[in-house]
Amino acid sequence: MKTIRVEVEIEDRKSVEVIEVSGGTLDGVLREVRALAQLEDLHVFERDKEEPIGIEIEELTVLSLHGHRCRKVAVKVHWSHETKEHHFAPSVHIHRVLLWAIGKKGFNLDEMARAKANLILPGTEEPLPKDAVIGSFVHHGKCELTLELTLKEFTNG
Amino acid sequence: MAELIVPPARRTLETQLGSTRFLAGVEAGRWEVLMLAWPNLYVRVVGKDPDCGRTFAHDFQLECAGYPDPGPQIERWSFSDNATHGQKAPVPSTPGAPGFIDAMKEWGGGFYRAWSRGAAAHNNWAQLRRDEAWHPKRSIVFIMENLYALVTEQAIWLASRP
Repeated sequence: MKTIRVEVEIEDRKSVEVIEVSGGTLDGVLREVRALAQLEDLHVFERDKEEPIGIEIEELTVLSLHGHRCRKVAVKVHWSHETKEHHFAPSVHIHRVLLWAIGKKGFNLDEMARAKANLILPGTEEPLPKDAVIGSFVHHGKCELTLELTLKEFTNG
Repeated sequence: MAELIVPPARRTLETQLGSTRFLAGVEAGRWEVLMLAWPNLYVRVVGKDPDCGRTFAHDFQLECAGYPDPGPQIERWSFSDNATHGQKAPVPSTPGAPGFIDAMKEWGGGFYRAWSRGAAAHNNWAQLRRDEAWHPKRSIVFIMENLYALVTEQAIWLASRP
């Protein structure tokens, strides 16, 4: 019988679990992930994908998933006295939000500024990891995330 | 018959190459392992413009002796299935995405990013950018995701040109 190895990160719990799901069906994966999270109303996504998992995952042998009770997160980004907002799935990476924020649909930064751009949480200085999922910064009950765009030198010599 | 002794560094790397997160990146088409010829790992990274879907691929050599301490020494690469597994790739033509071009420049110490071994020590970069610096508790996925982000920036830059 086919088995899918599944890595799961739930909301902002800051821990990653690995489980094996026998059968490899969509229903089986959803059931096991929701049981692991002890949440029946969990939306389950592949990392950096906008849509919840569907039947296509039955073709895969490994899955890296993010589960969140928010279906979408309203992301507000502050930059130079302006704020832009866009809705993303909680599973998308910080890098995807950054690409939106610096691009034409966001603040439309010039090429050099784009290379320097990072996202930080308000009140912090260290750039967020580009491969962190935004849902890991979002508490249940408030499907919102506020970030600040900051420029840091991308080179060092 | 004597047992083949696998260096601990290679064992550590191979364990991480078999991790769910790394393999999910392979299944998603973000990267692939071209060859592991210890201590060198050859990978191909495929960046994608999320708006138009345009892709751009580049190969890299990750020299992993002692892994995970020190971290990999990264080189731009052009992989071939021959005795040398290809060769160092030429500096990309300019203009291009500034971050990608800067990382791929020729400066004598390999790939120019704080998470590549040679560059980390240059001008104290690893200390200045702890968020980008390698440390032994990180996984090879950290390197792959950073390479993916850079190659994606080049894919977006190329897509923006007529």
